[in-house]
Amino acid sequence: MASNIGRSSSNTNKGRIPWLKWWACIFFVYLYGPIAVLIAFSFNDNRIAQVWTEFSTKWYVKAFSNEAIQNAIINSLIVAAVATVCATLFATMAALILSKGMFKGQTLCLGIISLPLLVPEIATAVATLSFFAAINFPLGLTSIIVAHIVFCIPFAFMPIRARLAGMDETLQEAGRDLYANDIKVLWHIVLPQLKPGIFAGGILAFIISIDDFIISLMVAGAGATTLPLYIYGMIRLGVSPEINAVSTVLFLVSLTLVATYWFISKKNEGSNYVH
Amino acid sequence: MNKSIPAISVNSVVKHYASNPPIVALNNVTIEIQDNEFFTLLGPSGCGKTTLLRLIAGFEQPTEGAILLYGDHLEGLDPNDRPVNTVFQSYSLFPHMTIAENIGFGLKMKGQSSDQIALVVRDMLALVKMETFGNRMPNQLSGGQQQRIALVRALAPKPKVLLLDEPLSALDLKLRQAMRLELKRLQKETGITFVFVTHDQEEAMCMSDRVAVMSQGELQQLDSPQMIYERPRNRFVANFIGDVNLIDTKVSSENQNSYVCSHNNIEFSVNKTSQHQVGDQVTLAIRPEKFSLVSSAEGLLKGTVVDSTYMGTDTYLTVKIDDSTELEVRCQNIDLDQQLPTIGETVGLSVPNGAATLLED
Amino acid sequence: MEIKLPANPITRRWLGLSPALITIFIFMVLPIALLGVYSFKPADSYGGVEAGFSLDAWIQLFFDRDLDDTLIFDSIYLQIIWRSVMLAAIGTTLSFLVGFPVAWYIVQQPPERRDILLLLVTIPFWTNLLIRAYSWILILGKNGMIEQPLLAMGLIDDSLEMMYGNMAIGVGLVYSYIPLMILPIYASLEKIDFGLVEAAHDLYADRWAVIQRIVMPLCLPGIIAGCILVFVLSLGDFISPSILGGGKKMMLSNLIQFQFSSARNWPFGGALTMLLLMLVAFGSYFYIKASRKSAYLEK
Ligand SMILES: Nc1ncnc2c1ncn2[C@@H]1O[C@H](COP(=O)(O)OP(=O)(O)OP(=O)(O)O)[C@@H](O)[C@H]1O
Ligand SMILES: [Mg+2]
Repeated sequence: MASNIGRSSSNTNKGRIPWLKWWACIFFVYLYGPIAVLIAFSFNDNRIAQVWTEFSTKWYVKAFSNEAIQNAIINSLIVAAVATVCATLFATMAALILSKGMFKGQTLCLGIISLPLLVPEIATAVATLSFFAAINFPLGLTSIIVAHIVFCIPFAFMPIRARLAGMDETLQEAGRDLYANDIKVLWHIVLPQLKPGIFAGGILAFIISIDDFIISLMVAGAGATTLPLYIYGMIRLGVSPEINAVSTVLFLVSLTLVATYWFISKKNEGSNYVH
Repeated sequence: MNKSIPAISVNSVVKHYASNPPIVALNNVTIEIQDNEFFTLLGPSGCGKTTLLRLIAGFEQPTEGAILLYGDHLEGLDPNDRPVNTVFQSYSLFPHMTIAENIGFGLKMKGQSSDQIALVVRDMLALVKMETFGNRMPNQLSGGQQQRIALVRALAPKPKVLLLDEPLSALDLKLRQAMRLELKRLQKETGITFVFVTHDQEEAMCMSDRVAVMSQGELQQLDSPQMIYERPRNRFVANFIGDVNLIDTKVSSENQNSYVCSHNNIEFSVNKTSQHQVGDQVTLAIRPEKFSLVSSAEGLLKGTVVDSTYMGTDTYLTVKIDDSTELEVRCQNIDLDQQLPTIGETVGLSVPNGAATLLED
Repeated sequence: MEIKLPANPITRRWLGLSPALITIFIFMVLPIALLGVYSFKPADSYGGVEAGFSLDAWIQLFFDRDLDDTLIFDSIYLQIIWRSVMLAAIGTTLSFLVGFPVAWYIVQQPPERRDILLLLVTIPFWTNLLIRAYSWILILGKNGMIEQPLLAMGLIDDSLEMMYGNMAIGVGLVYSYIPLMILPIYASLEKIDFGLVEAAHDLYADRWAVIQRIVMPLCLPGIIAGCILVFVLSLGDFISPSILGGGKKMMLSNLIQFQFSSARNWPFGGALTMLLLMLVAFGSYFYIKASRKSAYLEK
């Protein structure tokens, strides 16, 4: 093919502005600086969180031997695990239906599924609270889990649907041609191909659930404290090195999950060589 | 403008692209493009034509060497500071502006008043006979129409030099032929120097005042279309433009203006277009249509027809003159009753004086 | 035994969709509708609502009831709403001013570096907002990273009081949501044919003119998407005002949360929530309209 003079090349001077690089540098320092400070101070020996004395891991030891924190972590994990499994399952089922053909009400269904993305969290939180009160639903871990499932569905849904959209339909036809019935096609052909999408969706749902604060704050009963709720409680009491330590761990968990998600979806892109 | 100063001088330009090892896109290219000339850069894909154009336009900087515009160094000038405009292969019309806004963009950037711009836009639309299209959006135009707009958009600011990078390659054959004439007309009407890039030799032949043939980042020959065809300098040019028969010969004697080269005791007299010694192995190029068929007793060459293909305007014969040499011969089909030799027949071929060209390599 | 999917496509469709749809419907659509209904009911002072119909909650938005039951115009809640809108607007503007050049920078990088920079922009979006807001206390707070060196050098001799004000909330909002400004802008910048930039350059446009007349108009859909996302999320933000604003400078969401906790005025909370939802719906409507309008820019 003839190359064209309008094509961009990476080593020209085109729209380049000299200060742009510095601007971007400063931006990334701004984006990560505060977190870096937080992580650094979590290893600070001093009780006064912002005065550096020497390196120590004692706040980690202290924080994680605190029973309340342990409980909060366990609660968070239970909520996130159950919510992730349910939301991913529901999202997968919905995505399988919604990606196939057009039908009346499809847009409406898509709209309802993405609703939790559009409604501000505080609105969902207070609405869910009043609803639980109206139906006398006891507040506790179960209520948190139910609320989390709701807003995890769209996050699980997005990557699954994207993966389905990139899938080669002829494979299913080939399967059907080779005497597989619907459920066998689903099990042996569609789901294996969909696996990276489902996994990515599950990761997003898990991240969102484990980080959630506002909705948990409103629908948690006494004794059902999740990690972000516990951290919030500590923050209200003032800056402390334990918060830094717990926050660092939570941050690293999210970081690991995001990175995993990123690599899965990068690989997905690579393997979608159809067309 | 002073006629003696070239519109563009490309002086020993080298262009490397960063890579490991570096890609040599242009290797020591020197070209002078005259004022008011329709100049064509011709060469196969990847030979560096676009690179040269981008260097002139200012999108890239030469690694070595200099480029001058009417005697002024262009070094360090951004594209927007060079009185040179480009017609892009993909047109690159701004999709969010009307046709009139597209055409007026350059003038607006130069700070002209909107009244002046409106006048120029009208003239430009008239120039390509699209007066009524000013208010349309680019995506409401056909490919050929977009092409014309891209052309007048680049002409509107009255550049000193217009650069065109394969502007016709996206058009279908008929439109391409019509646009060739139109481009030629526009060049004459505006008097602007055109630098036209193509890999289509026919396009280069029919429009250009002069053609620069390039290959692998190097200039192979710079001449009028006729000279490029009739007197190719080397194997590459001879092969790239039109069809050619290459005959291996040895220089057997030398006169003041010509050599006598022989191949199996057949002697050709050729002009001294390059320097060789008696006894050197040299290659001659003869275009297939230069031969004429004569009876086997006459003629400089004698051979057997091994293949014959009817092509409409011509019939292509393959004539084997010895074990290692087959020649392609083209006979024009003048009328139906014409008697052409059949396969297996022995024929004689005559070659007019000066039909053979001595190649440098 | 062989499991079979229902043969009827309609049955199958509902079977597949119902878990997701019903969950969201029951635990989101219905509760919001319920809250809307609550906003027209009298408040129960122990939380919850009483039977009957009352416009009190909506009246309370604008008026205060005097002792003799006359309504006096009262702007205290309007002020909070206004502050929320203003802070969200300022946060959005700042995010745009900071984020656009960053997106433009990222687009110009070679592909591998682009991916890494995008990942770096994305990570904060997926990490806990609470922690991110809290980390700013370490920076802005008393004895924080900004004050410490200034105090030590003797440039200031008292706290700058950067925390617990509109400035701190603004910083928190920008910090929280700027990835959502950059990502959509990046996505539409990436689609721009760079040939157009070169063409404009060739036609005497300098860098600023190229950005202003070619790049910005062409990535308008991304800019609008980014601005609306950041605006809507900032408007409903709870964490920045409660952590960095110290709960003193309320925003709409703190006010709402307050009604359902200490104040125990559910109808008023419901009315405020409806107001927030209306503002968000208005924003989304504007977004859809604007993106339709610029649809012709897509190739
Ligand atoms: N930005 C770039 N980075 C690296 N190499 C490049 C770049 N642009 C061009 N090249 C290389 O430089 C050489 C010349 O490219 P150029 O685009 O000038 O060719 P061309 O003659 O215009 O070809 P075509 O007829 O296909 O358009 C090619 O080998 C090409 O791969
Ligand atoms: Mg080219």
